[in-house]
Amino acid sequence: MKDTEALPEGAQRFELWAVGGGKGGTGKSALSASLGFQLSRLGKRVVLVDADFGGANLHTCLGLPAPPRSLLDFLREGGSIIDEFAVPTPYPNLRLVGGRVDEGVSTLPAGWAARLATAIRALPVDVVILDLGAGVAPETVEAMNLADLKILVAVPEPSSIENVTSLLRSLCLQRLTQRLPSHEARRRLLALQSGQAASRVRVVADMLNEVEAIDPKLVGAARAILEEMALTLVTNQVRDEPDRKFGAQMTAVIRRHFGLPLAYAGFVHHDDAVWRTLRRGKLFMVDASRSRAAEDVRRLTRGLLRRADLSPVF
Amino acid sequence: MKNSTYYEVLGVAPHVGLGQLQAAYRFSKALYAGESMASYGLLDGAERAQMLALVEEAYGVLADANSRRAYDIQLHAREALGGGQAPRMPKAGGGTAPAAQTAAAPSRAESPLAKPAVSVPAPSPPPAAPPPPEPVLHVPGIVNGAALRALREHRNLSIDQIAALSKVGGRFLRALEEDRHEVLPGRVFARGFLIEYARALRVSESEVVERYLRNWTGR
Repeated sequence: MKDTEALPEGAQRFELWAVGGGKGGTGKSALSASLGFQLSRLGKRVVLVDADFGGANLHTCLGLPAPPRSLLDFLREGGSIIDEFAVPTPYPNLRLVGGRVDEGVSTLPAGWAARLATAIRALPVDVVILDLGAGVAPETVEAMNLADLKILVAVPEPSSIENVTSLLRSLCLQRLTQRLPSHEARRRLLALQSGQAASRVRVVADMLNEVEAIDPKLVGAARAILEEMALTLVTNQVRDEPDRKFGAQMTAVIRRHFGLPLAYAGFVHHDDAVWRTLRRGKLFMVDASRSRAAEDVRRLTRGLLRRADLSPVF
Repeated sequence: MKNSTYYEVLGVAPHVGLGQLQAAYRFSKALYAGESMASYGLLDGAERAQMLALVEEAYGVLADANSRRAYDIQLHAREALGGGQAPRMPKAGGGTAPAAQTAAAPSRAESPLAKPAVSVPAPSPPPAAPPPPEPVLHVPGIVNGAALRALREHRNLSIDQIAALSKVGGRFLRALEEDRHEVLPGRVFARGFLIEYARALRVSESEVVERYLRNWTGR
C-alpha cells in the first residue's frame, strides 16, 4: 500500500473544515475521521478536533482512549498553542485534539472562538477538521462558522432535513450578525436569534428584509457575506436510488425556496463494513478499504479539495 | 424573490444550452412531481403543484428556440427598465406555438420560490417498508398518546431512553404521548418521529404510524 496518493490539482494550502448537521447519529464523527484519514493519505498533514462539546467520541472512531487533555482544557487554560494538545493516531500525518466525554459544556471563556481560530491557524499542518455535535447551540454554530468549508451531513430522513435546515438558518443569521457593518443591523438580527422572534426568520429573504428595513444599501453586503460561507451538503447512509438523488434534491429545494446558499458535494453509501469496523475501533478506510463507503469517501475528499467541482445542482 | 424568471424556475443560468435545459427540466419535474422526500418534507402540496405547472410552462417556452428568443428579449427589456415582474408567456398546448405573438401579456402568476414555508405540512409520503413486528408486543387497534406510553412502559423504557435510541428529541416524544400535535413541527415530521419511536419500541412501524396519524389534529 502506498503511503500517499497524488493530490488533485487546484488543492489549496491551509484549510479549516467543519463537519456538522444538527442531528445526532448521522455519522458526523465517522465521516470526520475518514475524511481526515483520506486527506492524510493524500499527503496532507491533518489534525482532527473533537468540538462535540459534551458528546465527544471522535477518539473512539479512531480506536483511541480519550486523550488526557481535551479541547475544553485548551479553551479553559487560556493558552495560545494548541499543538501540544494534538495526540498522534495510529495513522501517519493524522493527529487528534480530543474532547471530554465526562463533562458537558457549561460555559466557555469569553473570546474562545477567536482564540481557537487563531490557535488552529497557527498549527503546522495543512488541514484541520472540526467535528461538531448535534443541535444548534450557539457554541456549535460559532465553531462551525470559523471554518473555511462547512460540511453539513444529512441522512435521508425527515428529521434530518429539518435539522439541517435549522442549522443553515442559524449559521447564516449568526454570520450576518457578526459581519454586517452596521450596529443597528447587528442588533436587530441578534434579537432574531432566539426567542419568539426566531420563528419569524425562516428564510434568507426574511433576514434580508430585516437588513433592508435598516438600510437598503446593506442588502448587497449581506448577500456577499452569505455567498462566501461555503456551505456544503453531504448525504450519508444512502441505501437506494431515491436516496442517491436525495442530496441534490434537498440542495435544490433549500437553494430555490429558502434562498440559503448551499452546494452539494455527494453521498456516502450505507455500508455494514462501516459499523463492523467502527465496533472494533478501526477505520473502514483502512480495514475495509475496498468497501463502497470507503470508495465514496475517497471521491468525496477529492471533490471537497477541489471546490470548483461542488454545486452540480440545478 | 417575489417572482422568478423561467431560468430561475428551472435553476439554470440564462445562457445554458438545450442539453442542460433538458437535464434541469427532468430534475425539476422529478423534484416536484415524484416521491422526493426532500421536496415533500419542505414544501406543501399546493406549492409543489404550483412549481410543477411553472416548470412545465418554463420548459415549454425555453425549449423552443423562437419562443426562448422572444422571452429573452422581454427579460432584457425588464432588466433595462430596472426590474419588475418577471415576464410570463405560457405556450398553449406546449406545441410549436408562434413565439412573438404569445409574448404579449405577461401573466401575474407568482412562483412559490423562496417563500417562507419551512415547516408546512406535507401530503402523505410513501409509507416506509415495515419490518416484521416482534410477536410479544402487539400494537393496539387505536394508537394515541396513552397507547404509545403503555407500549413504552411495557418495554420498561423511559422517554430519555427512547430519545437516545431514536435520536428524536424528548420534547417531541412527550408531545406525541400527550397528543399535543400542535407542538410538533408538522405531520411529515410526526410520521418520521413515529417511525423512530416504533423502531425503538420494536413494534410494527407501519401500524403505529398509520393508527396514530388517523387522529392527527396538527399541522
